[in-house]
Amino acid sequence: MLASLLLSLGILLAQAAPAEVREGAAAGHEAGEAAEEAASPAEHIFHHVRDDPDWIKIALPAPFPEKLAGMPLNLNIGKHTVSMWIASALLLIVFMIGLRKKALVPRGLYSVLESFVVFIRDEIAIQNIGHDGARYTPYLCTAFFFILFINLFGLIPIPGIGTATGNLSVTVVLALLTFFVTQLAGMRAQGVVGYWTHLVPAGVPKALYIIMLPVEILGLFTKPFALTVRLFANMLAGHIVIYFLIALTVIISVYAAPVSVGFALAIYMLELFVALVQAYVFTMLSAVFIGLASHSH
Amino acid sequence: MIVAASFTDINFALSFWTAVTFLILLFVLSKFAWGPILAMVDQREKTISDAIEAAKKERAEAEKAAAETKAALDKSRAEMTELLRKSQAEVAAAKGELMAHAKKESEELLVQARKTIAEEQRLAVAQLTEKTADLAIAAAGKLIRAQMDPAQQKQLVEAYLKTLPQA
Repeated sequence: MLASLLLSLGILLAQAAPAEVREGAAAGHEAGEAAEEAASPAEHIFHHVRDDPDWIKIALPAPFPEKLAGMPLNLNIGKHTVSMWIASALLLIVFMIGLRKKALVPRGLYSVLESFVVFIRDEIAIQNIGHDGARYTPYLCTAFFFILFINLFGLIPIPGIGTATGNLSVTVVLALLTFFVTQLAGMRAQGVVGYWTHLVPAGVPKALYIIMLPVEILGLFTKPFALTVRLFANMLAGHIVIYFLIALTVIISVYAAPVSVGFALAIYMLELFVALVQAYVFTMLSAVFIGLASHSH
Repeated sequence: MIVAASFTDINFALSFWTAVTFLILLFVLSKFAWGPILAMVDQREKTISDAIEAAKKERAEAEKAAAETKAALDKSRAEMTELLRKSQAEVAAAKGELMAHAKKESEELLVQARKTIAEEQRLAVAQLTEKTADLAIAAAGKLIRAQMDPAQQKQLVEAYLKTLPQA
């Protein structure tokens, strides 16, 4: 929520920029015209956080159309794909190194990794889902570390590499996976018929079903939607704010550098924390949703 | 806003690769990370609870053994006291017996000695008496021989003969 506030603040401030800059930004707002304009700070910032989707072009084989409802249908590898893969490779490498020293008496990196896994199992999975919760530990652990590593890797300022979790295309997949796991968990715990007939909490008067049923069905989809937007907006907003604070040196004056870099550093520190918190929140809420679906209320 | 709009576009390719990457990670990490780590945690929990259980058992056994040792010690101490008491009594009894025996023996010896002395005395007196009689007779004989004539001798023998019983 804080990060979303900062995002809107960033955009507002971008529009309150000096006249010549605002012209450039305004030009950027109108489709098509932005292309030939010199990149304004706002445009520059958005260029940094946006995906660059077509580094390597891979077309789908024949039966698939090139476009589906206006969305290009291909398997192109872009900036965020590569960023995600590097983060995933780092994740695997860290676990490979950590697991080499696996022992009954834990030490070093292994004990750190193990304490995370045990925390996810005991405090997130079992706490929110119940005794059956340990079953979902692999999914929750993978989600947690996948998001954490992408978030943290995105904070390393490598030119041309962004944060994949700041892209809606990534977070929507993660949320959909949680959605599927939630539905499967619900049907597993209550039976297929039991799960769908208990969608509306027991004890609700029949007359209220007219209201409750649409609300509950809507609830099925608002949960993953919230997951999608929360992660995406938090990661995107943090990066925009950092870039924007640094861009103040261009927008106002180069003498603003001590202040703008100082603030950028502070926000960067906050972002390190947010990277962990958002990974935790996504995992936690996934567990809560699975728990809600597993028990008839 | 074209810039803002581009953030809400879903890029199929990226979503596809995200799903693929996530599922590969889920598979690989479940097999090589979460499984082994959780197995290790369970094993550790089991090892610790086993160790606690074993320690409890061992302590109970040690307490039992200590109690047994103490009981054995008490018993042997009691036995020792009893033995001491008994042997003291025995020693006292043996001493008394020995003393009695010695006393009896010495008394017997005394009695024997007295008897022997009495006997010796009697013999000595008897011998002395005999010797004295002989000496007296010899002296008397000498005296008589010096004072008596044959007539008187004859008279004396006759007088003596008269005292003899008549055969």
